[in-house]
Amino acid sequence: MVNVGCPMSRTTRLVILALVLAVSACGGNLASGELQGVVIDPPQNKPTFTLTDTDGNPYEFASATEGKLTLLYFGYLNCPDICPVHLAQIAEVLDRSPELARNAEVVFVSVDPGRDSREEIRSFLDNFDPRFIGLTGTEEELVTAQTAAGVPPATISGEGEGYTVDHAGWVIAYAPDGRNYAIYPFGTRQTQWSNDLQILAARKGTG
Amino acid sequence: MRARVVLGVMAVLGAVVVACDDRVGGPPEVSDARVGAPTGPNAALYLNAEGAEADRLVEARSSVASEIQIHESTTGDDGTTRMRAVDGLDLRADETLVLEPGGYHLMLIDVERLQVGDEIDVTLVWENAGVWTISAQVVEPGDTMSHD
Repeated sequence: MVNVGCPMSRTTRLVILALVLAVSACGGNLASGELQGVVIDPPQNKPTFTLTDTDGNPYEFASATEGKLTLLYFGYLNCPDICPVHLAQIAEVLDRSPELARNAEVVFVSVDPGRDSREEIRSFLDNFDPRFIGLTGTEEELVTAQTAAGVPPATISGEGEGYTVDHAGWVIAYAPDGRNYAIYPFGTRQTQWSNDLQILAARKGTG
Repeated sequence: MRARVVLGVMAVLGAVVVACDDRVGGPPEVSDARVGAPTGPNAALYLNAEGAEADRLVEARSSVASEIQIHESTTGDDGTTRMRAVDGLDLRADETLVLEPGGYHLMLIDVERLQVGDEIDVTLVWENAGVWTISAQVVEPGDTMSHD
């Protein structure tokens, strides 16, 4: 599982699901000093993939975010429900802690290349924080990126312009040491984000 | 002349009373109606509703959106989030119907550029209670969830 590019096995996904349910059931145990997200054990390495940023330049994820606290999320712009909440929560935590924000990178990957243009992705992210990185790519590139990051590739559902996109609902967090220690399903609370980002930011080992 | 005005007013009141008589028990009580400020072409509206009698929310519309769909978001056993349109939402007697992020929402399609602090009117169509207009507050996208 630690191999870069290795897709997440069904077993791993089921384990994650069990953990998600466990966290939901407990409502999060707010003991200080411990990660409140869904802990990934053993931690995973940061994936290697290249997509295109909102300026049209190639963005090699692992090298561009090296040494930074990195949050990776796959979503789409026509998603008004959970995508904005995730991004707004992260923006608020970073806004309250400039020190944290200085060495953090938030990377949003649009998995709806049929509708989301680079310009639209940029304007979407500017609603939250103009520093957020927005990425897009061809369908093949996006599947490669999602697989490398260990999330099930998004699929389109429905017909016509109003289709929806089924996509991974969690945010993946990488510490500055390049390791993914925890993921954050929808429903993560502001206090949990704040707690965990502080802990992860301090993990600066060489990986 | 004066008598005519009085008669006219009485006629209007009579019509209102008749209309109200059709709405047995009044409409479900809606609270905490809120819309996340749009970050894209669509926006999501959330609310709580409760009533003494069971009912079903079957339709919603507003002048600020070309269409409103009733949606449900679910998370599958692989962690994948899905959003689907549903025909309606059942309100059980004396229970709160909760529309919140990650569950049910009203999706405002091709929504106008709303600003935080705006109030919008949304018309809800209930199967039994009929057509009622509510007011919803536009909030920051992250403020649609309840805070700890």
